[in-house]
Amino acid sequence: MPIDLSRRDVLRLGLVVSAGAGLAACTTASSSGTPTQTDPGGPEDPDRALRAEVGADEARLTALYAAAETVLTGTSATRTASLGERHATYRAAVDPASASAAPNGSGSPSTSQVGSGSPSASATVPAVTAATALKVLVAAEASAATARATQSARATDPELARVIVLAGTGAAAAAAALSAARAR
Amino acid sequence: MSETDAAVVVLDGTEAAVYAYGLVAARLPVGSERSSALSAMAWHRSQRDSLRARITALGATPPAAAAAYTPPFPVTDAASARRLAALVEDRLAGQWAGLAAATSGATRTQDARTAQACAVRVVTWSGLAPVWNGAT
Repeated sequence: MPIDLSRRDVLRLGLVVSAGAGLAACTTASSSGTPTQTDPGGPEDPDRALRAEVGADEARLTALYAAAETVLTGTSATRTASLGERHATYRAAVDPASASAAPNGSGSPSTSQVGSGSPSASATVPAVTAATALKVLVAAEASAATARATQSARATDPELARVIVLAGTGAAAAAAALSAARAR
Repeated sequence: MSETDAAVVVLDGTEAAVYAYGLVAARLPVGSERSSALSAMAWHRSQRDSLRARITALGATPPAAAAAYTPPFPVTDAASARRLAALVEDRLAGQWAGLAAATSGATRTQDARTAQACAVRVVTWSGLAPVWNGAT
């Protein structure tokens, strides 16, 4: 299903994710960090930057779901919450030290970030609708699926590669499930 | 696990999926669902052919398919047919992830995408999105 995701839609959810780039853009931005304290394999782990990158992506997805859940109700909210919880699981599997150190912190947008690139947006954009929230989540999950397939190729540890691939299958499935929910 | 061993696992799962979709299609009413089942069967056949070629290229002999595969539960109606389709796709998604882990570079990325295609069909047939494909 084609996704028509506007920047305004994303801003309405209070997240700085540029239209069309979605989580992939965040992936690039997060890869420059040196999370020494969060690496399960320590400084010698060749996959530590990748672990941190994927973990940060998953944290952002958790934050995105948290934002979306504020406007979803009933069955849609319950179903979406269960899909959102998976990203904490994936983060813990890929980057366990980081996940335990900041279970809800990194990846959450700060108030000052909400208006980035569009200073008046947070003040003037009306409340997001449930349909818009679902649309944003579908796009984010689809983007995450694409990113995980590519990121997996950079893993030195085959088990890490497998976990990242499975995080990608989870994202692809979530996108499909959310698309079905939108169609109903 | 070596790439060859992992590919053999996926090949066996794919042969089982082709067989299973024959059962599934027979139990679904004529219409879009049956068409989806037949399309999925054709897709898995194509993957099977690619896997056999891949195993051969790796210097091994692809094992022959079993004459028949026994479903883990009776497939007696449309509901059980959908359940079987979801099960085989879920297992295959996990197996493709295992194969991806045994490879590297662009091949791994492609195997990961194939795993995702299976995972999406789990949703198609069951409406559910397992957290970890292949875990059940």
